[in-house]
Amino acid sequence: MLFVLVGLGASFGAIARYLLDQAVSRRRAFAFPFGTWLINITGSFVLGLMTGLTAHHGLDTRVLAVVGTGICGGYTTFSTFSYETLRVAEDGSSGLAVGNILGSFACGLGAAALGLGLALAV
Amino acid sequence: MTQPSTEQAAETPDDERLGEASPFEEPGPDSPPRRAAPAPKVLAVIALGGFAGGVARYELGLAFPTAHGTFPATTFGINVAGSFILALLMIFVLEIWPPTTYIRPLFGTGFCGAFTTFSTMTVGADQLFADGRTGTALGYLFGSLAAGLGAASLGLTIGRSVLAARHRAHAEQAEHAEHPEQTEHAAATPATAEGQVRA
Repeated sequence: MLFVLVGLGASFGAIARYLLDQAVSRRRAFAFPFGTWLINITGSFVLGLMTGLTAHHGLDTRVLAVVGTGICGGYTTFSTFSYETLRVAEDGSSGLAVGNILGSFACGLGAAALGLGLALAV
Repeated sequence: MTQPSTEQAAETPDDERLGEASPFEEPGPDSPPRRAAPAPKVLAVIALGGFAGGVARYELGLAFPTAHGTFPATTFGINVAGSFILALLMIFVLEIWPPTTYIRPLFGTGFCGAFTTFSTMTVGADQLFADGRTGTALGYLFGSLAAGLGAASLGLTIGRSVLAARHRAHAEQAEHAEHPEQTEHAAATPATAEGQVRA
């Protein structure tokens, strides 16, 4: 039965991703895929925090499955990151493509580390 | 990245929908006039695709668990496969199939978006770094990036070659339009594929 809750969490994450990306791209007309970047950074932070709370504070692994695997996994996306990076590069902005790669990976790793560290500190 | 829905203007959002959207909006006198809220049906198919993608990723993780401190091959494979599927899908959605309202939200935003995950990769890599498995962490990150971009590129290439083949078939069809019996077989295949997609 846990898989149903994980799936519902992923549904929630996917809808949140869609709404946030819509809200961001309607305000900013940049070629840089700012919406997906923001989604992946914030999702990395929350998953880091949840993973840390499970590891150090005994948070129920079923909660981690629903919130982490479900919501955060459904919210963040690798496929859209790959696709948008290629499209930006094809549109002639290789600098933006490299910036998207570096920005997503560096900030995503940093946000995840912040979440993990915060869980360790509390 | 999301396709404007033709239904957005037609649908009247209910209070529940507005409440859900509010965390992402900044209601205020200086904010631009709010466009029509996303159509509930579009959100419903995103939820459906997201459910399927999330469950598929969860079940694959249970079926192929990767030991702590080792290369997270399952997440890696999921992200690479999803990148391929999304890129291929986008060529079909944007350039091959007639415009649709639900295909992209269902399979792209919903399924592929929820099937693949960025946060599991960043947290997993950070844990590998913390465990002193620097080589594995770097291999995971650079491997995911290279294979993900490669898979997406392959998806774009395959989708475009299908598009080119269809253009050739249509040109051939037009060329032999005076003798329809000779081109009946060639014309039947794309028409059938289109019919299945619409269904």
